[in-house]
Amino acid sequence: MRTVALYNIKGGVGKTSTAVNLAYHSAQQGRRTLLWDLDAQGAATYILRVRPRVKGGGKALVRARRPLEDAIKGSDYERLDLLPADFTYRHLDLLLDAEKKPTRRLRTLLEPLAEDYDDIVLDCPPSMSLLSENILRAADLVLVPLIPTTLSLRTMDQLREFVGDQPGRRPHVTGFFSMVDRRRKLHREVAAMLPTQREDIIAEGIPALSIVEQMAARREPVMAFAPQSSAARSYRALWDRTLSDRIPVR
Amino acid sequence: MTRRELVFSAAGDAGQVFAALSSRYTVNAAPATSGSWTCLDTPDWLLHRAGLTLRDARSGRKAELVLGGADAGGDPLIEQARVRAWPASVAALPPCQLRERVAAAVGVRALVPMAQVDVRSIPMSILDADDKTLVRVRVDQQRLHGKGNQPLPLRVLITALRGYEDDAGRCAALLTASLPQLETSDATATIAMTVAGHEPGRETVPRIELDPTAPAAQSVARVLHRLIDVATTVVPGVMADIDPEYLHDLRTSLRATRSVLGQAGDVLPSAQVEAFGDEFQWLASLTSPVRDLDVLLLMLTGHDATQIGDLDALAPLTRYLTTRRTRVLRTLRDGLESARYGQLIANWRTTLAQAEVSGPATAPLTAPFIAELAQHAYHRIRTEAEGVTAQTAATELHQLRKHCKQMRYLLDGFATGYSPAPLRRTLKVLKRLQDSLGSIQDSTVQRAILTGAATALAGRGTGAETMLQIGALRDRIAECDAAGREDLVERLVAFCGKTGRANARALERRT
Repeated sequence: MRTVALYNIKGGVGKTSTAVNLAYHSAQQGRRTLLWDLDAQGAATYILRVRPRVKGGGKALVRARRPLEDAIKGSDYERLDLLPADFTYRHLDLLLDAEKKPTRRLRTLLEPLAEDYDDIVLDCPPSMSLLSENILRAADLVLVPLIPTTLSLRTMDQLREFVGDQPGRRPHVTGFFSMVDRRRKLHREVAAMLPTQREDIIAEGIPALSIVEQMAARREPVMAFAPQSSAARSYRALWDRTLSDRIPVR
Repeated sequence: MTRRELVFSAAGDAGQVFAALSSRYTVNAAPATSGSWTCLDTPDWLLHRAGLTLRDARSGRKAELVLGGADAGGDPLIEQARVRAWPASVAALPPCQLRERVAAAVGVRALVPMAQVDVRSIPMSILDADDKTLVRVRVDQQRLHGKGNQPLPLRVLITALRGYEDDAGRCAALLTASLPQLETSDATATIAMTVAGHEPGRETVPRIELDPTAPAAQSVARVLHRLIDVATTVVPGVMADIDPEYLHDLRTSLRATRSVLGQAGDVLPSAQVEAFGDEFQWLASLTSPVRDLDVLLLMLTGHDATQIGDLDALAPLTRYLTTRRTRVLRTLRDGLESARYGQLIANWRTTLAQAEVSGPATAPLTAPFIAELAQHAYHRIRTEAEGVTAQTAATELHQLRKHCKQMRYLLDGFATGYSPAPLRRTLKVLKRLQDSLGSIQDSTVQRAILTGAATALAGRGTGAETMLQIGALRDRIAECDAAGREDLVERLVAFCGKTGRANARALERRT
């Protein structure tokens, strides 16, 4: 089992749309995949048409009163399951803090799923918190969507610093550009330049396209309703670069 | 994801399923797809008898083997596998749990297609108010391939998506309340085979019930008639070389024929019996070379062949033996296609038919008489067994083996004439004794064949690794032989001892 987190300190950078499409593509590749919507807003849960409710809420999960397996819902797609969001996830930091070894809790919760799933994709809320520490401990790979602006470099550095400060096991961190608007010169320049200067940012990016926004209206991954679209091709390229079997994940 | 299979009568159709589910859920039906499945079993129904059903299901590029049945335990075992053609041995299946389960039930017997079924599948999705799929339903409308395309039971496969098991249960309840349900999914396989003209579990040639008041000649003729029916039934399997058991069954029925003729044939006109005895000996002699090679090749090519050594190094041996087998099989086939064989079978059937209808007016084959025959056979074995040790030469055990076979054929052939419980107990120890003697005999033959093969292969400049592996294989067979001999002594004691004697004495059926 490998765990991939879509994470950024900032919100609205395309974490959910990437998480949903990568999870969908993983399942299409024949891999048993679980997408865990950790964001209390429940956007990924909404897209996959599942009710954003976990019996007992985040508390029951974090305290292992209820096995994680019991909260999992099958999606409309073969091999893709979802651990839905719940509004109580907004208190996850507090719940985690009350546990022993609070930064390892998420990893411990995921361990029993190792036999059931090949890939676990975490759709993370924007923050830098105890939950973030948990995510960094649990993940083998952290994919960071970046809007191609000069500030994105700063965001990436902050995150690297944050990861560097974590004790013990650290994930592989890879940045990629998201919501790239080819009409904007700055986007074009940053997206072209940074991957040549930094090893932790890759050239494969996701364009800003209205079809990606249609996911919420259609409640399906782009790769499901428009598999030949430019957006779908971009998600495939991102998968190939970061998650295909040829690329080992730490 | 949990799967549940429901089977409804052939009168049901996809429209009824759709209507029943629509009463509670939004149902989305997708375009139908076509496929087929083939029900497999051995010619002697070993899977059916083990409570298993094996299906080769194909749809588009997808091919899977499905092992189900009451004794399969839990959900069916499914393996993605495409076997090129049936009949095929278990070795044709990819190594997997399913293969192990099938192999344990069928051994060396080939899997033969018993019925082919055409399937039209209609996938349906059960949706909630958000158009989210909760349950997947597949309706299989099935018809027998050929034989007038008779309709078969309607199969409905309900797959609950994780977390929606309750909805799947509700769907199943809706359907069972609306359509006439059959008991189990395996009913489909059994019905398909029955409609295709088979009787699952039935012996190809049924056992006979002897009439104790009938003249002895008539009873013996009936026993012999059944044996020749068995022989001729398996000949097509021998000709097609489906699996080695066809030949084994042919040899057994020929030996049994000769044995019954030797022990009880004097109730038939003697001139006829002698002539036929020689002819059956000719036929049996054609089968031996193939059988000897079959035993060795099964070791080298069976599904568990990897346990015997380095198969790559042994490949030249396998090729050599296969070539030899092809030659001797050709001789056997020629024999089975010859006029001599055709004449033998036809004349033998005529003779037996005459004996059954208007044979010599002999006294009935009484229970004491049959029991006496068995007693004679038993004492011959005891006498022959005296002085047998674990070191006795194989050639000296040959006569003992023959006597054992003679007794076995008597017990099998005239089974209904013996007292059931002592017969069962005697057969049990006798079979164990025969197994030991058989394995000693087989190992002697196999080592002789290996010695000959090694000489021939060495002459062709075969590599050292192959020669070493042949030597190792011969040693392993010798080790098995030694272990078998220890068992033999133990089994002889069980057979010839006090209990064995008491059982043999009690064989006479009391009315």
